[in-house]
Amino acid sequence: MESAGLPTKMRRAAQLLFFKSHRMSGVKGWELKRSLGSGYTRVLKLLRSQMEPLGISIRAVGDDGSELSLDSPEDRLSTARFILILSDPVRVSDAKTSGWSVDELAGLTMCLGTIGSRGDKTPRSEVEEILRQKFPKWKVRNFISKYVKWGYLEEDGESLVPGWRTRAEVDLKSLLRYVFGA
Amino acid sequence: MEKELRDLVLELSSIVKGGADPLSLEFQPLMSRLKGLIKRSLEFRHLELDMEALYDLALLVYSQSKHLRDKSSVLYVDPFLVRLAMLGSPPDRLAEAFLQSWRPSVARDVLSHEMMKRSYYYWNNLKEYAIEAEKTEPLLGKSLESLGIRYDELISEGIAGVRDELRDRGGRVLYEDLVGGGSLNERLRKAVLISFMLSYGYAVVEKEPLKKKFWIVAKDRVPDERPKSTESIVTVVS
Repeated sequence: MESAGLPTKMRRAAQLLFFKSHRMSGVKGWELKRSLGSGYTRVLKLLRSQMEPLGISIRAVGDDGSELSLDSPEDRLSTARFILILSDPVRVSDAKTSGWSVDELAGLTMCLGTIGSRGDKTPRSEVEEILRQKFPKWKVRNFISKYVKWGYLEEDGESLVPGWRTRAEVDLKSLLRYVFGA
Repeated sequence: MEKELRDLVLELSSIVKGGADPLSLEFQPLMSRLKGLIKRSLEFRHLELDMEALYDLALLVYSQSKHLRDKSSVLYVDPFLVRLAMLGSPPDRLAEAFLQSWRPSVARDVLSHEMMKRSYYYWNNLKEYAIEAEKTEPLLGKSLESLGIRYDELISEGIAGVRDELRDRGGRVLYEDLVGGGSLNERLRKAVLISFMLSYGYAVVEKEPLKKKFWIVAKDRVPDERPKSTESIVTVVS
């Protein structure tokens, strides 16, 4: 990789990482490789060091939803999705600013808490029944369809499973720990 | 030398401070790498970086131990307890729990000037095309009359005629045979009458999918009986 081209490649990498494709943010490893060349992980490492002071990290999420290091084998990185995530927890007031309501956040916690404790797959009726203990029926239906639309939940027949966005953005084990501490 | 050390420090700090899975890195190869680098230079600036890498390695070991401890403590979480905990917490506390474990992704959701320019050129160069919707006319009584069918005839004479023909031919006739030969108008007329006869319940269709054959079988009409399910069968009358 030409060192003279690095700043250009870093700019291009940053632009690619901000992309969204069919509601999914970020780009695949092979797409970065196609645009930046085979040394794309080096470009990403440099970009990461530039973005960290701004509170933004680069995360590589594998096919199974696990987080990968940038030194992982090439075959795993090429199919991984690279996204930009905020490094620090979001404050309630900031979440509200970005359009979330407290009820929506609480509803999602209940969905993910239920699914997480059941081992990744829970009948939709069971999730709805738990949510109905706190929210009216119309709101429950509305919430679940929103979470599915946003990618936090996925429908698997009559069951709900964590969506790609949950796997990429939410630490389910921490969530359960915080639920017990709530 | 210095670059290698800086890469090592960056790699370690990304795991330790970035919140990634600490078990994704193996301690032993990293330690061997650092040992090799320490031996190569005793310059102060290199030793400073050596210390930083060593410190990050110690943090990595601590993170790995903590991660294992946390992981083992949540290997089994009783769903009932989770449910109780969630139902006992107010929405704002649940929201707070989510926010603590959530690192939202950042994405651009706006059009750039360049993209708009490209879209504009694309739109301007797009060839015009239009699909003219084929005008269809509903099959009215008038059209039926042109086929030689009057609606009142359908109820009385026509259906009765086809029904008698079906009975005379043994009560079970192939659809094509019942529609018969003759002109296109005559065949269409017969097809319409057969479909009405089936709708009124005077006959049923027996299918032989493997042979692609449809049999019309005479049946005594039971006026109040509603069919459990209805279906349409497309046949070509030509």
